Amino acid sequence: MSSTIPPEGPGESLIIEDDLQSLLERWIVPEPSKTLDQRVANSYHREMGSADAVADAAQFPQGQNEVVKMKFCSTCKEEFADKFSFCPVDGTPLNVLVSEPKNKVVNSPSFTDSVSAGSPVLAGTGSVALVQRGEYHLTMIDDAGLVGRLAKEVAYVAHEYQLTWPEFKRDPFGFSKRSLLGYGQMAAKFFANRNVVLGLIVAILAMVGLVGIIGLLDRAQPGGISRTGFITFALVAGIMLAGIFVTWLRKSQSGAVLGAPDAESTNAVFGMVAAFSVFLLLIGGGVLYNFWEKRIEERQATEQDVVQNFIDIPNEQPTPDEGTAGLNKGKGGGSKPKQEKPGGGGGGGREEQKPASFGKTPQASLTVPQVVAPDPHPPAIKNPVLPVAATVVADPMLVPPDARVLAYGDPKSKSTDPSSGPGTGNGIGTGKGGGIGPGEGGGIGPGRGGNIGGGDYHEGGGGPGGGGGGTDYNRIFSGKDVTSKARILSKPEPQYTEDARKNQVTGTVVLKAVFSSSGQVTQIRAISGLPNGLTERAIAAARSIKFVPATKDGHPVSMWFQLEYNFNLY
Amino acid sequence: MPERITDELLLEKAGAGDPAAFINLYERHRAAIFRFSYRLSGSVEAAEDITHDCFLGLIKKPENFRPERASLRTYLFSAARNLWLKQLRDFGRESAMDEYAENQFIAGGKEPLGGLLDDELSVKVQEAVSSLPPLQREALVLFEYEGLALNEIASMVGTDVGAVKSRLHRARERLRNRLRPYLATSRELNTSREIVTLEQA
Repeated sequence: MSSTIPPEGPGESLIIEDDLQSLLERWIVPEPSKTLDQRVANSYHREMGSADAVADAAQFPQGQNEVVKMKFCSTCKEEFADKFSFCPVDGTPLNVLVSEPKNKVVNSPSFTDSVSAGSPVLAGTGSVALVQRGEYHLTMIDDAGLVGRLAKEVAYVAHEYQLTWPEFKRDPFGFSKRSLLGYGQMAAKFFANRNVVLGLIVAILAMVGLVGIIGLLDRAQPGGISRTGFITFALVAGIMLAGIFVTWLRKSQSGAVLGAPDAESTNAVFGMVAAFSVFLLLIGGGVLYNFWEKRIEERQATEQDVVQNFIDIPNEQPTPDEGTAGLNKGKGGGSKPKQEKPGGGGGGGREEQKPASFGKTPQASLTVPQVVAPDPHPPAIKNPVLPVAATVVADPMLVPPDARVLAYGDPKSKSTDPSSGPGTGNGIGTGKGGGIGPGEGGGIGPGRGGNIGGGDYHEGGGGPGGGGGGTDYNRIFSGKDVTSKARILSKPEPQYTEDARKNQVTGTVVLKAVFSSSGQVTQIRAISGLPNGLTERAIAAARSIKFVPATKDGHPVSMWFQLEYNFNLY
Repeated sequence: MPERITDELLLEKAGAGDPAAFINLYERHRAAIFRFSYRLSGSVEAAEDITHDCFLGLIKKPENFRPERASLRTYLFSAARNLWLKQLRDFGRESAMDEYAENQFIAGGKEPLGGLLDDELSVKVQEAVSSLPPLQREALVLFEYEGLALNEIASMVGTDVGAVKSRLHRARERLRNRLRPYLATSRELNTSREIVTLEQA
């Protein structure tokens, strides 16, 4: 085999040369694979343009009486190779197996002669070539749009339904059984497809991986996954997925996804995209639902809080004291320059059955004597020639002019039915005289002799006012403002949480809370807390405290309280 | 008689659509072309592709082969070489260095140790040859394995005899360096085999 090269060195190199040659000869060349001969032969036939498969088949050696399994399509009446599950022409499922001897394939003595004994490869592969040649059918897929094809499919399903309904009515049980069997077989065949299974597995694995990573991230951060982190992760995952799909789509353009043919590759990719979309929709729906539920919970919690706050206001508390005198707000007692408490009052009534009705007070004056007493009823004389306004005897500083369009009446009354009240003396109320209220005289309120403020007539001084005053027992008092502080009857100790015990958490939780007048602990705020749920335990313990509410002037009132809970481990 | 039907005649018949003639022609040269392609490319798949394309090219454009210039085998070698160089250009480098494992268990009927040693030597030689630069490799394969004359190689690779000689020399130098440990083994193996043969005799 090897010719010699001109000697170029001493004897040693020649020996090495021989060794090298013998070494080189040890490189063993493997046999070509069995498909090479077939490929070459196929290419030759294709190149020669011999379309007649039978004529070509004569060129290939074929074992006699060889049985080729074929499937029969009931729609196009053609036979296809065993490996086909659906008719390549019209897509009908191929179920019926036909076995028939291939008698038309004959041995070619000339070819057998020409094939050397050392090439059994070519001889064994002829039948495969025949089947492969026979199965090729051009499938034309119409170029209708997606909606058009969908409409066609829906129409087809409707038509099928029309056709099958009578049969179903005739024999519902048998029909259902047959349909189930048929669809089951189709589904089994579909899932037996390697590409389908691979595509499904890839999609499911990818989604499980995604969900797992989200779960891990969620667990890694105690406060739950942050929104920014989540969005970043979703973006990265989306880009990666898009990248995978793009690569696969490219692959499908040039060849195959997972070794599938071109069309199947595209289908597989679209299938995977659809699967991912469905998964993402499901997850997105879950997240949205979760978010919505949280919102509702938050709203309910807020409402509860509000209700709680309402409950805190005790109903039985009396309305605030109106103050010593007057309808005006302020600290003074009357028109006199020096601060002085006013006194006196008035009352009246026209002996009516009904209580005095609500209304405004007429103009008050201490200097102008009362000519006409106030009357809630409309005047008997319309448009009088000489009108005289009703007045009361009271300090105008304490009873300011009332501009409201209202009938006269008792400002403290709740009755709206016009009445002067059961009193006497033409005033309004239950007293005597021309004033308003339960007293005697032309003034306002309890007391005697006019003016306002109770007791005997006395002019006050120091400015407007006298009104208001009193204490709002509804507000929350601090400890130093109450008469007696809240008295705790029982104070349950909070329990340690398992996590806190594990993590050896110790310390003090300081809470601020309201011991309400109704006997509940509300508005608990943590001033300083501890981790691992100890603050929550302390709050729960605080809620279950039993106590006697604080009091002020004999009224039970709410008060602020600071609570400290020590958590120690021994 | 069969051997006397020349390649040219067979090619003419094959070109006219005689499959038997084509098969005959193919069978004549298949082994050599595949072997050559395999030794150049180092991969069974690549070698099969080259062999296939070689014969397809012969059928597609039979006019490219001119009997007055070279024999059909030389023509096929050149075609295979061109295809291999094209593959190198397309893929940047040779592929499939990982196919030895399945390809090396060929030697049947040898005693186990000898078989193992032969396999290892085969792999090592293949690695060594594959590591040569393409021009040196083709010169070595054509000369050592296919037994072509220097001037044939020169005309095939488009250079002169001197260049082929120097490529061969450099290739051998490299191989010698690379296979130095195995040169001794090979000598010992041969010697021991001779001893066994002598003893049996």
